[in-house]
Amino acid sequence: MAEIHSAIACNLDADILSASLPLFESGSVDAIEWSFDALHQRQELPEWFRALLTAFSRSNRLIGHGIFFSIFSGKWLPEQEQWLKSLKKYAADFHFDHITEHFGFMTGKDFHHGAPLSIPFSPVTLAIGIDRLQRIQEACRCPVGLENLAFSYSLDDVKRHGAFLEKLVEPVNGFIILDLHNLFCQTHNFNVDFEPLLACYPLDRVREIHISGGSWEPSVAVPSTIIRRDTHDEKVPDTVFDFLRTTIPRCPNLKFVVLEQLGTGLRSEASRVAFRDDFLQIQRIVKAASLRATSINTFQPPSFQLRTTPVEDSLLYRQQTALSRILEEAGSEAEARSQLEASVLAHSDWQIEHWNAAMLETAVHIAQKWKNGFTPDA
Amino acid sequence: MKLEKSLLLLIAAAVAVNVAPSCSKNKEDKKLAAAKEKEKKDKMPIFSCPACGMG
Repeated sequence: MAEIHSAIACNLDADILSASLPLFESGSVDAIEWSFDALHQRQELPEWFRALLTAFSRSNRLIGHGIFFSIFSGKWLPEQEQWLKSLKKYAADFHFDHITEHFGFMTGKDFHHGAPLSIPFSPVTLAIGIDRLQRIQEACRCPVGLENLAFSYSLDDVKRHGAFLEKLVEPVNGFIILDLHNLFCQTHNFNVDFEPLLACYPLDRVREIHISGGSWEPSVAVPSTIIRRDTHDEKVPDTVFDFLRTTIPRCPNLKFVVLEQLGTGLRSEASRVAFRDDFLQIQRIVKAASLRATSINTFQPPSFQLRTTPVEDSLLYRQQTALSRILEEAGSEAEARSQLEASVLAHSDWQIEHWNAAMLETAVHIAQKWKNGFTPDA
Repeated sequence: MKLEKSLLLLIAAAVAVNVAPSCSKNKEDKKLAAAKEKEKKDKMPIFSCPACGMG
């Protein structure tokens, strides 16, 4: 029988490790997910952390989750070349059961600034995305996948996201991470029901599920609207556990369910206890649903010929650069919209004319929150 | 998954080094706390993640 592993997102962070230690001690954690590209502040891994990664790696229970590759950047960047080199090295040091990245492009001025935002679902971005996934697969030599994004500019984006993800991963026999809190955000922010939203995703391509908590933020642009944000800093809502119960039986190739929380949300003893309770709740749900037939797709990489030069699109890059600047500098949603209407993004595949006002405001908040990169209280 | 006890002890020790006392009024303790705080910054970066795109 195929087994589903309950895992935690475990990075080199004292608060995450403190919260997780009792779970490690009790042998409850089946697997860990490590963001191998979040080590920019240090050159070497501490030996004890390397030993932790090695222990899970040797049991085929280590999965890698990239943050900064900026898969849809219209221009091939030197930092992406470096990212692949680094991944190749880590993949030689550790056995990753699979490697994943986030959907979107990074808004920031360089590789460790900004946050991922969505892109138009067009033939141009599809070609770039497939090319980048092939390069990741060539570097890590294991199954690769992409995570659904919480952020969307419009309801139309929300409905088309799953189908576009399927087109992206199919050529590399890739898979998707289905982040159920991201779907929770969308059910709230776009007033859609979970069932029809779930039906938009290729569930046979789901190898991993993410579970997390988030926060609420009132919109100024659209008074009386409250936006749900995937901030990873609070307890998992009960509804997301319900989503997990509903989703697991529909994902025949599911292998990992991962609890994500930021260390900044784990500084009090109460929050650490709540984190462990969330993990044990996930484990109970997974165990209750785990008896199923063997996976039909192991997502092993197919053979392919990598293009000599990476796919690029100069117009897309100009649009991304303009959008990043506007989002990082605008004082309000109205200011951002007025600048967008006068920019290279107007009347383009981006369809800025149909962007939801509260979501544009949220994009401004996200871009401005992360434009200076990592800070202790971000 | 069961981890070896020696590894668990190493993790516990590493995490403990990163917990600086904050309530002492003694000057020496404050120096120690500051040193530990510096050590904490040097040893373990804060992992704040923008990755989900809604964070």
